[in-house]
Amino acid sequence: MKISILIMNAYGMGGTIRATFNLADELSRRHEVEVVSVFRHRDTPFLPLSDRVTLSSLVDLRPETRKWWRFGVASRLKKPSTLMHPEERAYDNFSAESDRVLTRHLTDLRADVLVTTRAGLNIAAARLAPAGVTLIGQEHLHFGAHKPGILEEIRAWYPKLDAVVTLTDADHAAYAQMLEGSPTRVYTIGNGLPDGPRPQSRLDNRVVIAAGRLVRVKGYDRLLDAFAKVAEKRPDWKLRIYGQGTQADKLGRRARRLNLHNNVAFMGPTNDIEGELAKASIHVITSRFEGFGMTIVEAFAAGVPVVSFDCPQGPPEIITSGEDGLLVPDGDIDAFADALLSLMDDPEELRRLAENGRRTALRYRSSEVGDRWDEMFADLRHARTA
Amino acid sequence: MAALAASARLDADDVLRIRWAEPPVDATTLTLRREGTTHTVGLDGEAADLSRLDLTPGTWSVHAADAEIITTDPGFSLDGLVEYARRARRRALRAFRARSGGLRVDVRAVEPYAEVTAVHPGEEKLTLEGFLAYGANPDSAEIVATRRKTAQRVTGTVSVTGDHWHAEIPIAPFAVETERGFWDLRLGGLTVATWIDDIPDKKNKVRFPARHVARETDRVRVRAYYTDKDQLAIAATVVPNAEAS
Repeated sequence: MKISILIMNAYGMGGTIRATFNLADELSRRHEVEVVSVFRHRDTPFLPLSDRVTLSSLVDLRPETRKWWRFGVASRLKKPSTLMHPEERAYDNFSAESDRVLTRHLTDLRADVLVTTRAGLNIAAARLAPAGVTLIGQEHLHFGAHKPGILEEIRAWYPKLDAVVTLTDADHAAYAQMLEGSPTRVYTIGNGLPDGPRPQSRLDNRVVIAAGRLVRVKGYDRLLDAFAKVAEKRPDWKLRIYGQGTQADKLGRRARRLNLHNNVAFMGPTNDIEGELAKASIHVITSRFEGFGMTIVEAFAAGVPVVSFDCPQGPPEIITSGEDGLLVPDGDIDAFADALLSLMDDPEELRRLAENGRRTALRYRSSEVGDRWDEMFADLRHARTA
Repeated sequence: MAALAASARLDADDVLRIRWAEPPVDATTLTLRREGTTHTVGLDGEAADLSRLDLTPGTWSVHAADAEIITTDPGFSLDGLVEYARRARRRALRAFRARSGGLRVDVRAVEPYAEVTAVHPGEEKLTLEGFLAYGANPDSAEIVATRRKTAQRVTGTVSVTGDHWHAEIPIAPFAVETERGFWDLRLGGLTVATWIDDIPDKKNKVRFPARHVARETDRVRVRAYYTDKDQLAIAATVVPNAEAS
C-alpha cells in the first residue's frame, strides 16, 4: 500500500514533526511511505528521518534555489493564500504559490492513502484529492483551538474525509459529535515512540527541562514566574528551556527581571531532545493548550516525571496525577511552584513517579501505534467496499 | 553487533565504569577509536582505567571487541563534572552519549582557570562566584578587567576559601567609554569562564541584567556577558539618557 503523508514543514523542529517522522518510519516497515513537505527552507531535515521513507517538498524556499524559480513564483509567494482559511493558525506561511503547487499535488496524487496533518491541509485534501484515495485527516491541535471561521470550513469539508484521527479521547468526542450522520469515522491514536534503547535519566541532576517553540501558547511566561518562586527556595536548581521562537527576547527580559539569570538557560533548538530529557530530573509543561504533548511521553520513556498545568487536551489524558506526574490547576503559578518544590524535596517520590512513567510510556510504543493505524486502514478499506 | 550499557561513567581518576544491560561477547577489553587510531585497554570486571592511555584531544568512540558500545546513560552528572574539575590536571576526559546512542569519550587539554558559577550584577559592583578548576592557584587577590582597545584596567577584589572564590568589581570605573567597549577578565592571572556546566555556546543562551552608570549627558550600560569561548567578559555601552535600560 502506498501512503503519502502531507505536512506543512518537515524541515523544522517540534513535536508534530517528530511524531510524523516516527509514524512514517513505523508504517514504512509494511508499506511504501512518502512524506511530502509543503515548504522547505533547509537542505536536510533538522530531525532524523528513516531511510525507508522518501521525503520531498512542494515549495522550495532555500535562498540558493531562487535562481531556479520560474516566472511568477516570487510574486505569488507574496500574495496571500485563498486555498487556506485565514484562521488556519499557520495561515501566514501559505501563499498563492503554495496554493498553486498544493492544488496540483493533491489533484494529481497517486497513493492509496493520504494522511494530512493539520486543519488547513485536511480541508485542502477533502476538496482536491482524487476519489480513489483514502483520506485521513490528523489533528495535532485540539478542537477548541480552532476559531469559528475555520471551524465552519471544518464542518463543511471533514465529512468528505474517510477518517479523522485525533490524539486524545476528548478531541475524539468533539469530532464524533460534529461528524454525526456523516460517513467519516473518528479514531483516537496517540503519537508513538520508536522502539529500541532510549536514554534514561538517573535523576541525579538538579535540572528542570522544558521544550517547545518559544511562543505564547507554550506558556513560558508562566513557567518563568513559577520558577522564580522555586529558585528563591532552591537556588541550586536550574531550568533549561529548549526551542526557539518569536518570544525569545521577551522571555529573556522576563527571566532577567525575575533575577533568574543564574538559574535559566535558553538552550535553543536540539535534535536530541530525548538525550537532553535524560539529563533532567523533572519535565515541565506550562502550555495554555497542548494538542498532545509529545515530550510528555518522551520524558516518561526517559524516566523523567512530568509536572504540567491541567490544560486542554493532551496532558490530562497522558498524565495520571500522583502516579507518573503531577497535574496542577491551569494557571495557578503558586501551585505549580509548590508542585516542583515538593518533588525537589522528595527524591523517593520522584523515583516512584519515574518508574510509573516508564510503564505509561509503553502504551505509546511505535509498534503498538503502527498496529492501530493498520487496523484503521483495514477498517476503512472494509467500509469502502461494503 | 552492539553492546548495550545501562550505565557508563568516568570517575575523577579517569576510570570508566560500565554496567551492562546486554554485555558484549568479549567483555575483557575496550577499544577507543578516533580517526584511524585505536587504543585498547583491559576491562577489569566493569572498570577500565583510561588514565594511562595516550589519548589525543578529540572525541573517541568506545567499542567492546568489534561491537560499538551503545549506552542509555547520559554519561555524566553535573555534580560529577564539578567534582572532576576540582582535581589538578592537564588533560580532562568526559564520557557522554552521542545522539546515535554511542558511548563517546571527549578528551581535552586543559589549563587551570577560574570557573564561574554565579553572576550577581549589583547597583555599585558586579559580584562573581565560582571555584578554582584543575588545580588553579591565583597569583594575586585581584580580579582585573582589561579594556580590549586600550589595555585600560579596572581592578576588583577576590577572596578564596578552599577552592571557592568570590570576586567583586566596581561598576563606575567602566564609564570611560565613548561608544562601546569590551573588557576581558582575569582572576589572579587566571582565565574566567564557565566551561563545565554542559551548556556550550552560552553567548545567546545565558544573558545577565545590565546596570547603568549615570554621566552628565548620557549613561553607560555595564553588562557581564559570555564571549564566543564562554569566557566571562564585560560590555560597556554608552546610551543616551532617553533610552533607559
